[in-house]
Amino acid sequence: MSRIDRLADQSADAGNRVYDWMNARFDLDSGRKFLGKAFPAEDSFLLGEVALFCFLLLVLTGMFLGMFFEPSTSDVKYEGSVAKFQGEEVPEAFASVLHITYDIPFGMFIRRMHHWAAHLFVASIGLHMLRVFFTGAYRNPREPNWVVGTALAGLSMGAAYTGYALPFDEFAATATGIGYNLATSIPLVGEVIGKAFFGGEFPSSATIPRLYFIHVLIIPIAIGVLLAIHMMILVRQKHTEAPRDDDVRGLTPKGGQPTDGAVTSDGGTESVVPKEDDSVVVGLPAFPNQTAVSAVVFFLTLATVAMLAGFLPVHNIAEYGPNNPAGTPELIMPDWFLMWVYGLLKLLPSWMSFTIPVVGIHISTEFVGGVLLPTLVFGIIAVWPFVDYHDKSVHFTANPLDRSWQTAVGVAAVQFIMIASIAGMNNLLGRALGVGTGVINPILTVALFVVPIGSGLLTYRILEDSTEQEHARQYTEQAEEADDD
Amino acid sequence: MRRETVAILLLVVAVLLPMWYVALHGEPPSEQVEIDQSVTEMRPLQEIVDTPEKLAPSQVGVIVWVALFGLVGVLTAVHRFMDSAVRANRSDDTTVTDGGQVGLPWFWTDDRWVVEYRDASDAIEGIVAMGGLTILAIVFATLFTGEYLTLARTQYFGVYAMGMFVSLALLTVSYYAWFLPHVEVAERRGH
Repeated sequence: MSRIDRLADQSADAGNRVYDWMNARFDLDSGRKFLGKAFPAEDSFLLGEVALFCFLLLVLTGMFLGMFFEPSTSDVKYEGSVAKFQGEEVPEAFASVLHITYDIPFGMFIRRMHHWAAHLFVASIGLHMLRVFFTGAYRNPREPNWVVGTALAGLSMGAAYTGYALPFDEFAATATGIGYNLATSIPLVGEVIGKAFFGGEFPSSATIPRLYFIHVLIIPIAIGVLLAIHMMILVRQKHTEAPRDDDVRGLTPKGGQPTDGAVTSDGGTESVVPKEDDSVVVGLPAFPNQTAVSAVVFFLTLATVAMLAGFLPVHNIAEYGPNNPAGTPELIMPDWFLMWVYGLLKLLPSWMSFTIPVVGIHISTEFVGGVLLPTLVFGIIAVWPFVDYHDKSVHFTANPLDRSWQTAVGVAAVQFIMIASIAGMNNLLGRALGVGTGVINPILTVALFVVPIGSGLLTYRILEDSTEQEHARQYTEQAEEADDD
Repeated sequence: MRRETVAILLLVVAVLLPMWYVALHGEPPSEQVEIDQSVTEMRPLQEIVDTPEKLAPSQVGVIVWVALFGLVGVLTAVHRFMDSAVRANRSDDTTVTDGGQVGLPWFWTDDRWVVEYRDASDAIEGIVAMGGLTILAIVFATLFTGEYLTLARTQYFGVYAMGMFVSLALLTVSYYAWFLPHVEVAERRGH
C-alpha cells in the first residue's frame, strides 16, 4: 500500500476515530436514541422553528453590533460620514449606531437584520401561539409549556423594547419615555422599578447602560433558559399530532409487543397503530429527516430576513436625529406589537384616575391602561389551559371548527387586540379620514367592546349551527342505513 | 375550504385590513441621508430599486406580518414538495417489511420503531439540481464577499444573501427529495 493510499484510508476513517474518541469520554452512544425522536410532518408545526432561528439570528447579529455599540449618553463630537451630523455634539450611543450603520461594511445590513429578526421573532411567536390556541394543542398535559410560551412571548417584547431605546435617537427616546412613565405609574413599587430598569429619572446617564445590560444579558439569558425548558418539555411529552387518516402499519418495536401482531411472509412481525391511538406519536426521525426539514426552515428564515434587511430600513436614526429633551417628534408610537397597549392608554378616560381613600394610593389611568389591563390580558392567556381544562390527556390536535366556544373566544381576542391597535394609531386614522381624534376615540371605544363580542357570538353561532347540521346529517344517514337493513 | 372557515376568516380580515390600511399611513416620504464620500468609500445607500428611507413602527408591523405569511406559504409549499417527492415515482411504494431492522440504529428502541421506509431514488435529476444549486450558492457567496470588499451596498448584500440562503435551502430540499431515505417512526409517548 502506498503512502497516499494509507493516508486516504486514515482520512476516510478519521470521522469514526473522532467519534470513538469522543464516545469514550462522553458516552455519546447513550444519547443516540434522542436522534430518532418522532416529529410529526405538519406544515404549521414549523412556526416554532422560525421563532427559534430568529432568536439564533438575533444572538449572532447582536454579537456583531455589541462589538461597536457604545452604551453611553455622554456627548461626543460626530466625525463620521453622515453629513448632517458632522461636527455636532451627539450622544455616544447615537454616534456609535451611526458608525455601525454608515461606516462599517455589513454594518447597515447586519443592523437591519437584527431589527427585522426581532420583529419576525415576535410575530412568529404570536402566530405559533395562535396555531397552538386554535388547534387546542395547549390542552392536558401541555399546560406548562403554554405558560412557558406565554412568558417567552412577553420576554421577546421586552427584548425588542429595550433594544428600541439603545440608539438614543429622538424617536426611540420619546417612545421609551412612555414605557418609563408606565413603569413609574405602578403604585408603591413604581419608583423602584423606574430606578431598577431605567436608572432613575428618564432619561438619565444611567438609562442606556441599564437598558443595554437588560437587553444583552438578562433577557437573552431568560429567553435561552425558557427556550431550553420549552424544548425539554417538548422532548419529554412528545409533539402533538394531527388526527390520522388511517391506521399506521410498520414493523414491531425492538423487544416490545406489537399493538396488533401479524407475522409477515418473511418471518418478521408487523405492528398496527390504530388511527385513534394517541399513546403513540408518528413522524419523521429527528436525524436525519427532521434535521433536513429544519435546515430548510433555517435557510428560508434567513433568506426572508436578508431580503427585508436589504431593501427596507427599520428605525432609521439618521432621519430622526439624536434625543432632544426639548423637542417632540411629529410621530410618536411604540413598536407595532405594543400598539394595542398604546391604544388602551389613548382610549381610557382620565376620570379613571383616582386615589384609594384611607391608604392614599393613587391609581392613574397610565397604570390601568398601560400596566393593569395588559397584565390582565397576559394573565388570561397564561391561565387559559386551566380555563379550558381537560382531565384526560389529549395528544391529537383539534379542528378549530369543532371547538365552537374556544374558537369564538380566540376570534374575539384577536379582534380586541386589532381594534386596540387601531386606537393606538388614532392619529393616523384621523389623518386618513380627515377628522380629529376627538371624533374617532368614542367610536373606537364602542368598537373595542362591540366588535369582538359581536364577532365572537357570530363565530359561536356559525360553528354551533354547523355542528347541529352535521349531527342531523349523521342521524339521517344512520336512520337510512337502519331502514336499508 | 369549508363555508364556516371562510366566514370566520372574513370576520378576522374585516378588522385586519382596516388596521393595516391605517398602519400603512405611518411615515411620509423623506430625503435620503447624505453621506460624505470624503470620509468613506462605502455606498451603503446605493439602490437597485427605490425604497422608503424610513418606516414607522406601524408600517413595520404590516410588512413583517406579510413577510411572515409569505414565509409560511413558501415553507408549506416546500415542505409538501419534499413530502411528495420522496414518495413519487417509486416502484417499491410499500413499507419495507423484511423482518429485519431498516435504517439507522437510533430509529429503533424499545419504544420506537419504523413504520415507513423508502429508499432514496438517487435519480440523476437530483445530481443535476444539487450541482446547479451548489454552484449558485458559491456564486452568491462570492458576490456577497466581493461586496464587502468594495462598495458594501446594502441592497446588493440583501440580494446576494437571499440568493445564497435560498440556494442552500433548495440544495437541502434536493438532497431530501432525491438522496435521503424517507423514514417515519412511531414512538410510545409514555417513556
